[in-house]
Amino acid sequence: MMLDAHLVAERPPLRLDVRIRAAAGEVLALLGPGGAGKTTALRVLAGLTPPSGGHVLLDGAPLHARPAERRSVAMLLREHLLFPHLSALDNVAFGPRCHGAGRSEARRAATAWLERVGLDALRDARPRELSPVQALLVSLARSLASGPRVLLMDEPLAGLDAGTRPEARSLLRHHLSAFTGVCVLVAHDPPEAAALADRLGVIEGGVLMQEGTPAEVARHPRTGYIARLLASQAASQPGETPQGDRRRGHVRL
Amino acid sequence: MRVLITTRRRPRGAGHRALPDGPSGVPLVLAAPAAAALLFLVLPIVALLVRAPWTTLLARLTEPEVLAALRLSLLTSVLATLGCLVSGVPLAWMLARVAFRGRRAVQAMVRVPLLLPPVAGGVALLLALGRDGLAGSWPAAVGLSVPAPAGAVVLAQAFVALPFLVVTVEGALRACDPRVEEAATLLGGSRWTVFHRVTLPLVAPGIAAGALLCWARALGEFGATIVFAGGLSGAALTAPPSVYLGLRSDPEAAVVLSLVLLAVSVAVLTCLRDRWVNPA
Repeated sequence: MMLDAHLVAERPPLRLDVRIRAAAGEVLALLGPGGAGKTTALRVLAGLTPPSGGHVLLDGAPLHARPAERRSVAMLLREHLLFPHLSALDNVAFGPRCHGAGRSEARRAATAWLERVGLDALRDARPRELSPVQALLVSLARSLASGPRVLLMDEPLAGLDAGTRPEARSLLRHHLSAFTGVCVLVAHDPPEAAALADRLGVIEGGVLMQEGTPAEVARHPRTGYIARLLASQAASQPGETPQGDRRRGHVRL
Repeated sequence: MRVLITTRRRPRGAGHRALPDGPSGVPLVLAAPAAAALLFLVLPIVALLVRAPWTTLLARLTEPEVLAALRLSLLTSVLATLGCLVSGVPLAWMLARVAFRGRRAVQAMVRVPLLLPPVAGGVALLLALGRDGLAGSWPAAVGLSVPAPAGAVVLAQAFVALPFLVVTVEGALRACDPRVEEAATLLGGSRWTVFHRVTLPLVAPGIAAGALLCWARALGEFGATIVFAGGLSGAALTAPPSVYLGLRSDPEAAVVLSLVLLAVSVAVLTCLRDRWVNPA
């Protein structure tokens, strides 16, 4: 499965014009300063923001011709946006229900997903009773339970405090490794992007400035923004040099 | 911050003429009109309570005319509220969630009955839905015109009360993060599924508040009702016109009915206290 997208959208003063490609089982991270168009890129992919041109092809089929609810594209945001009036279980069961499953069938599927993320004990909990990490995992289970072919994540870990972030990051990486679709991640924290992604795309001012593995980008930063970001990272983590290990989670910027 | 303010305050009398303070430190020039305003609002209610025929209250309440007026008021206002709910919630949703041309104009139009004198609203309704009205003869055919006064009462009440519901629900929808609905859409929910399984439950408190306001307004409707529903006669005689008529023939009955309407207002206010008295 291959995602091939040319994302064009006008959000004055920004004009987004980005071409991205990502394969199944691969995590592509979009990195860039705030206001660079990363979130807009995800919203165009998902069908939430109307594009002014371009295309979104999945295995050559035009995804852009379908409305958001029929794209099989799931999105995970920094605010996990669980449905506050539904239990954790019914949050996860929402997707299967929308896809035509009966109530008990959807609940069975949701239970299996909650077990997979290790939260079946919290099936009856309301979102406000969940910790931020638990909310992230329920939100992830909810996204995956709807059977997406493309998973979009917009700074999924940004709402967590420094203490829980490493744990959440490794949990997220673990669950993503089982996901067989295409995954596109937006981040503005390079270590996070590098830990979760196989490839990085650097977006600045609505344009893709550089693309490559985290190691390649680290070795030959092509813009001032990414060079400064790497310099500040190097200053905070002395002694670590960029390595060329392509396996997910083993690359440090 | 506090320190900054106190250190920067000029000493009294330097440049500003000091105003005399009341006992609690509030300037009298503010305290006196505030007290007058409060008195002005409270005194009529106190008068109503003082002059109410408490000993004969129950007997008065069960008089056939009073009961009939209350029953008609209750029936028509509930029907008007239901009608407003069925049509007003979708209208509020359109205004809050769909970007269409002329949305601002529609928003303004929805608010017109809030300021339009109800009597003028009644005349307008008559010209639109009355005999030989703009809408033709179908309102009469389905029992919503002058020949069917109760139906006309419902229409008059709905006309003046609908904005309360729409404005309240629209506000509730705007306060609710549309990205939650987008999340539901991406999970595969059609617009209708998202609306009734996510949006409606999320704004349910706002809908309840709007319905309560709408009902209270419908219950108190007078001006549009007497114009549109055929004057001050039997079949359209809800509680407010009865109060008006009663003042001449039977003042005690008027006081009793007013008391009932006051009790309803207090009850509605109690239900809405978190939204109106202490808005977060």
